[in-house]
Amino acid sequence: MQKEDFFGRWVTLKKTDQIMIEDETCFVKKDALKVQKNTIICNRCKQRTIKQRAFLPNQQYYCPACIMLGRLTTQHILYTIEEPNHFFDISNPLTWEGELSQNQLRCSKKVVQIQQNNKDLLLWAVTGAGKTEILFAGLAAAFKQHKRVCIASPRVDVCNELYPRLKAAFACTTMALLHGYQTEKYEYTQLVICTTHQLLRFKNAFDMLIIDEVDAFPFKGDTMLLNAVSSARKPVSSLIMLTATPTHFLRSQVRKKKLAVEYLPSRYHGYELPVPKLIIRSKWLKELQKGKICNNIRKTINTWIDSGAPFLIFVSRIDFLKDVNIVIEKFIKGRCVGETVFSADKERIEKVQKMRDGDFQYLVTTTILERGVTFAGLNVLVLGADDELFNSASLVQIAGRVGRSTQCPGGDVVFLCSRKKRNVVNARKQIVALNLKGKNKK
Amino acid sequence: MNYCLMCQGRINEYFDFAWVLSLQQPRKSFLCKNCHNNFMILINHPNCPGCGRRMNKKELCVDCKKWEKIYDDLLGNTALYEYNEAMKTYFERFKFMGDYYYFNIFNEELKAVIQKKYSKGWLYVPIPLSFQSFQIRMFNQVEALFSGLKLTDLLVVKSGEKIQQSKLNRRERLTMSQPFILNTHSGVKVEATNIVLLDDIYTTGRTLYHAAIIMKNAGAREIKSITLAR
Repeated sequence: MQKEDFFGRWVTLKKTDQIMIEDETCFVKKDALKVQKNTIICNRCKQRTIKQRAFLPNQQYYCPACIMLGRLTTQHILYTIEEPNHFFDISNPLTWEGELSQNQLRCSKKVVQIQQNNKDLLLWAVTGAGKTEILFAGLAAAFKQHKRVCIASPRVDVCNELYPRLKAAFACTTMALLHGYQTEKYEYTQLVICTTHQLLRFKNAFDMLIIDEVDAFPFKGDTMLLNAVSSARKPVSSLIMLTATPTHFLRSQVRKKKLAVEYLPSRYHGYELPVPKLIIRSKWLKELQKGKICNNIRKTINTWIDSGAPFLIFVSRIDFLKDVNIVIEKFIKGRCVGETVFSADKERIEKVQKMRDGDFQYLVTTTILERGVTFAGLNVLVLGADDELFNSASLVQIAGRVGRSTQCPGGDVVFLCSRKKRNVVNARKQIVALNLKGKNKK
Repeated sequence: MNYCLMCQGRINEYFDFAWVLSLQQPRKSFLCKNCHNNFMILINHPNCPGCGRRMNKKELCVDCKKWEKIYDDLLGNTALYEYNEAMKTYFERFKFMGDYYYFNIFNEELKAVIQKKYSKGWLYVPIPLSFQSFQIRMFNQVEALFSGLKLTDLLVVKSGEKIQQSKLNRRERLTMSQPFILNTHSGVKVEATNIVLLDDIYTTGRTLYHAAIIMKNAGAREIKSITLAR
């Protein structure tokens, strides 16, 4: 085990193991679990568990909350070395050559400034605004100052997509990609791209922490992961949260002036976000179960098929997928091909790839495709948008799939619901408000 | 409030009239209905009398016919559930991540089955764990699953032997040599006793038949087995 592995990071060893490095003075040492009268507290994830849930038969205890990162028991000790920021000098870390729009430039300057002053920032950028490019200037400035940076996201696919882009933009900077499905060994790097769970392994490591899609599952409302963020960053550090749909809590923080905010209300190509069209039909579900589709929807699907544009159909539950697909297939009568996709689908990645390649014209899917996917010239139909499983954030995200490319910035977003419910109205309101803001900023 | 151990969702409990009249304590459940249905129950279905695998008719499967040629008596294994995706994720969490608490999910059921089928005059012998595995896991998963029963440690793993079968393929498993020896310090007489071998998963049957030979050579009269999954 190398000394670098301990920099700003918890390394777990059993009490019986000995560390090979001579000078023990630089290590910070901690018992993995704190045992109290009725509960145990884990020193890695700071979660409290009742003893009954956490006992092992040999009078030991373990922490079930962070067990997916490797089990910690009362026989383990956590070691760390304070982050020394041992990085090479790079005179010009940014190897990306591209241009930012005026709005992007404004946000980019703000990020640099926040990074300089070690403050927190919410970057409220609409879907398809080009968020990653905005960060580049700030990252470059941080790397020059030997700062250690982390970009974390609750979603693995987002991390996987970010890594090659950053690798291309900062060719000389050392970077690592960490997530649960990875087998590569950990290495000490200046930039870490990881899932939010991996933050639990770090301790006072980062001078700049960026969280992409802060409002996504499982980060949203998870106290363990919130703790992970505050303990992974240094006491003096900057935190930048990126999202298109901030949670109620974040918005209230902004309103109370506790959190700085920067809006990026228009897309990089300058066109407006497509505003969803509501179709209200109280008995659509019953009709669908009988194999009927209402006229409005028929017309829109017909126009999509005739123009050859790809489209996604979102449903709220996995059980609906099959029934909906049967009805749609019957209606389409072989004019185009499509499939169903859900989270546990084994061919999920291949099906999405086929959609990208144009082999499928449509997919029937659940909320798994609400973020992080881009198809050119897409149209979207949401069946039962008033279902409680679609909150307004996911509806905004779904609408944000449409019109992301410069070639076809338009597209249809249709919400079919049985009645006007708050989530649908709010989602529409948010989109309209962002469009208005975008117009004013120009 | 109860939460499902497999999906972390809430468990809706039904309190009906019959339950109120029965004056029973509410039974603590660990799985929601949906997750429970993901596990395929094998008993009460036609299955192979040798290993407990699911069959169309009640007859010996191909593998058990081979075992029958090598050993005279088959184990007559009772398996509660099929080893499917849900069972795989269960063992991933329980055995390999080491979440000991998960033994609760099947503990009651296993105890009920064993007490119904082999109630009196049987010794319950769990398949042991190698020293190295025990060091890492810090519990024996078989003893955990069957905890609450009076278990007799008649078997030990030979020192230096490591049985991590999950990393082997089928042929490698079948050609494995005898990993067990009789525990001479147990103080229990094996001669002329009936024995039920307990294990977590029956895959090829190799482990259980290795254990059965040791018991047979020590003089056991009848040998059966119970596993959670097949």
